[in-house]
Amino acid sequence: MDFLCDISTEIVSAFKKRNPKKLRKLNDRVLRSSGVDFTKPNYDLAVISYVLSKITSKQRFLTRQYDKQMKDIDRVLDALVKCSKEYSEKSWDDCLTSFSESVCNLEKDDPRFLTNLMSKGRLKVAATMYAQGVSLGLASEMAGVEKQEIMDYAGKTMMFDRVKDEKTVLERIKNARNLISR
Amino acid sequence: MNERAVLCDSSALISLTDSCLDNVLSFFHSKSNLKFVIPPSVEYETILRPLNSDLKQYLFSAVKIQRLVKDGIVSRIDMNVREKAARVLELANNMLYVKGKPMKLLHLGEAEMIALANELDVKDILIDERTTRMLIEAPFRIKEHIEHEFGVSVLLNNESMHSFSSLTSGMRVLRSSEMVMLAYENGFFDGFGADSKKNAVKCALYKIKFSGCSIRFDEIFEYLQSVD
Repeated sequence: MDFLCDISTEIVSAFKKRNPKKLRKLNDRVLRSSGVDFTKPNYDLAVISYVLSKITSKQRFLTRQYDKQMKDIDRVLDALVKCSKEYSEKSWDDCLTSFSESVCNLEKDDPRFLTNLMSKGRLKVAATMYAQGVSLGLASEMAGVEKQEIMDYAGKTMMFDRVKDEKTVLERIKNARNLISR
Repeated sequence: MNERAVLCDSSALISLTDSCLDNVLSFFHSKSNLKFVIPPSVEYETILRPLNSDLKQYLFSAVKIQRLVKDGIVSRIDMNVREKAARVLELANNMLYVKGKPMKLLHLGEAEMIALANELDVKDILIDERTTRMLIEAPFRIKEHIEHEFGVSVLLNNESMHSFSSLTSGMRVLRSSEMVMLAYENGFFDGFGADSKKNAVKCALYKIKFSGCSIRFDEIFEYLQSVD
């Protein structure tokens, strides 16, 4: 659990400094780790770091109007770091629920999108896992995100263009033609 | 099983309905007597769950797939392949090793698709999902991709790979993009007129890509170059 503790501490520190760039880098680090060795806390941290990077990159959340909600998030994150040091599934899940509630609170007065930040975070992590190599079904199950949603997101990225196939499209269509000529 | 049967994964049904190209299945069903079959898990993912859970974003796709089932264009196949699926899953998820640990790649639902195709001796599988397709066609490419993505060396378990390959031997993977191309060649887009039908298939291929079908832009370009 050393990785969990270290990375949680770094994420919380970057959030307290309201540093979106650092949070994005930490998000990349967690994503690499959770892709190779999937654990629920790693996945949760990938979502958390993504959500925090989005919050800190939105100027409106850094104004005095959101002071109270931001302090609530700070408090929940302190509890999360503590929990990462003495990890138990139950307390970790409790912290996650509190985090999710505090982020929803931040957005509730002035919602801009149909999907909230937590859902966006989960989708982003699921799509990244799919892009990295795990199957759509596994990414969907691990992240608790609908396959349709991941496909929709993936289709708007270059993830399929980054991998070369063994067969050419002309070989594929030749096979397909055989299907109806049989 | 009928040699004109095509086993469909949920990913292909999702991208076809999302692109409003689900009529391609009806087209081939009536024109070439193709039979599209799905396991119960695909019916659940694409029809039952969106409808029962009121997933507003996916309700329309769900009712369109439901209609394909009602019209007999897509048929549900019930078969217990649990044991074989568990074997497929075990092999796929022990094929690649990263830092000494096996990397989980497939989900049980995808393993069930492969097991069902093997059990029914269905050779043609319609899948838009990338990882399962590549595992069937070229596991080496997935290994290279993961090495590139994570910057680590990935060990390939040859025994698992060979056993997996023997289970999938002879299977031909189609994407919904190939169904659209084939539909173009068989007159599906003729209604757009001689001057516009090639443009229509180009637009349809872009749409299906944006809906999540794992086709590359250069493949679309290459195909369009090759046809009149």
